[in-house]
Amino acid sequence: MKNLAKIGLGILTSVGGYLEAGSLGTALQAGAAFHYSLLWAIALGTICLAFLVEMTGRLAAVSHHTVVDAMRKRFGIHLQVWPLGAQVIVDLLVLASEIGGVALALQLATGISIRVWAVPVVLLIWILLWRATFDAIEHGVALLGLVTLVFVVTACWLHPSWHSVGRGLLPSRPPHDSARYAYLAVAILGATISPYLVTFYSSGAVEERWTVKDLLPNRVVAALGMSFGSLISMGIVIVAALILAPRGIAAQTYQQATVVLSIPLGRWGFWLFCASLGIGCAGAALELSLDVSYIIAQTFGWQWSENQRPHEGARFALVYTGALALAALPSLAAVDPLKLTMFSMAVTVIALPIVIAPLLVIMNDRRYLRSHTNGWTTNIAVAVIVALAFALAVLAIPVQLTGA
Amino acid sequence: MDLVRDLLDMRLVDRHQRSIGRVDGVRLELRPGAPPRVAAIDVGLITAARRVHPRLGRWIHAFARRWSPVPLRSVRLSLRLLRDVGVDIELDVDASSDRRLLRLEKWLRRHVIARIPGGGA
Repeated sequence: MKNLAKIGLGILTSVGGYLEAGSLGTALQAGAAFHYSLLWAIALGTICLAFLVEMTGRLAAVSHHTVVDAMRKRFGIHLQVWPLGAQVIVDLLVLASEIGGVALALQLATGISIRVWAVPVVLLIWILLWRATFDAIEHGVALLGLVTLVFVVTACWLHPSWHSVGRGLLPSRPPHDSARYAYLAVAILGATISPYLVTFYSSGAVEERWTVKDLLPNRVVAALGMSFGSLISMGIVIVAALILAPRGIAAQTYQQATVVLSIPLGRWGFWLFCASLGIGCAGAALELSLDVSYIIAQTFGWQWSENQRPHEGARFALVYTGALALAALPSLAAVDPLKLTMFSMAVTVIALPIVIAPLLVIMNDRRYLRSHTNGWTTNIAVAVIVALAFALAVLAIPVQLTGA
Repeated sequence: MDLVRDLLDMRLVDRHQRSIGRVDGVRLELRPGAPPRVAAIDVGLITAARRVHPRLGRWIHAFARRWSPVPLRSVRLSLRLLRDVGVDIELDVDASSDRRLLRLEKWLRRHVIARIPGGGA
């Protein structure tokens, strides 16, 4: 019974917290440009993410180490600085994208520029972390995040051809513009396999003192939570394919993309789009700011906790404060949030092997996992998907940047 | 004890389970006619940085001497303080009263965090 409640809450939190700038932006553009034919990238990324989340939960339950703890101990600081550095850069870029997303949602709703909204948005996120504890806000944020299910409901209500949707789940030759197709596939994989979820989830599991008894709920939450969450991304692709594509709207900016809900749902659709964007991005921004503090604190052996007050962890609190200040800069400079998001997702994929390869080594080390080391399915699935994403990125990013 | 695996990079906690850093370096005592023995452990950013690259260690050292409000040199702790080795290494020290430990953390708490509304205890 306790397990059931735990599983339910875990799934709810995963679904409510699933949508953020990366998954929304990439899914909108994919649906608008290629209908359903990039759905496979979401499915593939979700499989990889579910494996990764299950792995880090298992590491925490069996060895009581967070991913960063284990990496520093297993590889030493001289090697661990590479995954750490890669992840700090990715976290900051994605955090900047999320802040841009919240500020843009407010710009859409009020007509006041993101440059003006950037400071209040960052201040609000900072005050929530500084004054409240994450424990107190995480479930509230996840509950509000369920508003993003509007995309799934609208997708069903529009009666797509489920046969075509099913075909999109299998990779196919790009219908046209293969460079853009590959680039969007990379961005979707980067948005789905977010490295911050891995370190964030593992920190939570260690803090809640998981034991081997939690292995089963961990597996169920990883599989179901991530799958249900990915339905939201798929819903966005479907709605974008049915609403944006026939009208030739490319969704190059969020401003253009609002019609994805306002055409089928009217004025309410517009407000629901703003709410989904704002709440989804705000939830992710909270987690990302904390994640930067987590990984730096764990690397250097500082006291860390989602519930500690600033005076209990001065350096911890100042790290997220600094991260938020830095991440506000692109919005202050009025960098387009959707362009920043697409860029951040591509950088994420380039950084993935640096972060995931050492994790795979640890997950096969009996000194940490005892008899619970990875099976070969997990090893192969994660290694192949990460390698594929990386290879695709190496091919697609230069072409996208040069515009060839 | 396998030094590299069992000691280096482990997290250190005080007797109240409060984190005080990691084993950033290990000091060996060379004895004629006997195997080297661990004499002490070093805890501090500069020692860790030196292991990443000696030049990085020098840079941080120079930067800290110029700008840091508290000395950032590493603390040397005797292995006689060792109480328990598990996921972390527990030392028989008290982080809040021991003036060698958490110098930057304590300085920031007093001079920065306490001056920001909501940061105090």
